[in-house]
Amino acid sequence: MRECPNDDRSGYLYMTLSRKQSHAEVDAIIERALNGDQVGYAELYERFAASLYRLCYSLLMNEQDAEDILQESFLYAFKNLHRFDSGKASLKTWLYTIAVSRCRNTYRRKRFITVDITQWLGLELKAPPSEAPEAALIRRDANESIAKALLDLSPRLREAIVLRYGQGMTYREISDVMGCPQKTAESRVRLGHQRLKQSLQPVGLGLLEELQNVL
Amino acid sequence: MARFVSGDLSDSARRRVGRYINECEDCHAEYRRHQEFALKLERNLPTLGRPDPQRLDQLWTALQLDLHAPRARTPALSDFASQSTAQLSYGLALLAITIALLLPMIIGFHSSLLPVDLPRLPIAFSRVHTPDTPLAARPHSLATAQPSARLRLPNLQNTPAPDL
Repeated sequence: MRECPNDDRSGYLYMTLSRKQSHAEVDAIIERALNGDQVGYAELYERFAASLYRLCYSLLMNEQDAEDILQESFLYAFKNLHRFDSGKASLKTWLYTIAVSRCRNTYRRKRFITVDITQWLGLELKAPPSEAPEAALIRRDANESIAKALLDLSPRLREAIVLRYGQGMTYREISDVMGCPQKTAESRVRLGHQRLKQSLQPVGLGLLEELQNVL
Repeated sequence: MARFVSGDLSDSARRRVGRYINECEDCHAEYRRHQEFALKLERNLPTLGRPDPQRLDQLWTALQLDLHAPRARTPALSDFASQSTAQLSYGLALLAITIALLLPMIIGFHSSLLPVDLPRLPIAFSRVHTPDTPLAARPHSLATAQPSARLRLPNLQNTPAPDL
């Protein structure tokens, strides 16, 4: 008889607890910022800028566009911070909603998402300085495979996958950010998962396994 | 299965699905495959597009400039309403006086633009070409049109098309 999978709920409960604690901290920073404390704005930027940039980059696969949208999103959010209601959603969800909406505008404007050729050649992919050359090489290949597989997905499926696996959001949060029912968010993640699995199966999956062994 | 792997099921549903997966060989194998791939994505997707910290600092500096830049805005209706009514009434009075002074001058100026008498008949009638009227005698403009010129009605049967 096998053990019941995922019976241990302590990790999940800890995650929920730490999320609530994090929300309370963010609310306190927002309060300070709204009272005129400029350091509060800097703290909010520091807390969310990196993840917001990764979100934008993963959706658009273009550094310049990701930077532009990051800046626009923060500018809008900070100017409208008084409108933010922490009772409805977390600041992270609100910021992501703003960023995803701007990314969608960029899809529409560009119609076809283009990828910088230097990025495809691996010239712009950054590896942590301490990383071994072998691991860096594998990471680059794996990133290229993932980027290509993500680009093959439709924008909505890509958003769902990036929010779920790239940002670790719950389905409820994904549905809030994407502006769709929770069931739709679930099915998009499921469908995106299947498509990614199919497209990464021939080459990418092996690379991912190799990367896990090296790191 | 997806919700089970990601921990989005309620406790009771989670226990029920977990028991079912335990008893079904194929389901368990599928669960393992699903979980492994999800774990791989969770580990690798966050490495995609890692920002350069220096670049983020530069963006923060630019953002601060944008935040503190004075906004060029169009005047709202409330801005006009907040002005004192005295200022507004002085302005209106000044406008009315200016119009009252300029109006007779404008009317006089327009009447002086027409130094010649207008012909009594419409110009089109006097310009009709008939065989009896020599070309040189035909009036071509307002200045040469003579009010006393005798109108000759055209013979509609033998007259060519008017040269207008």
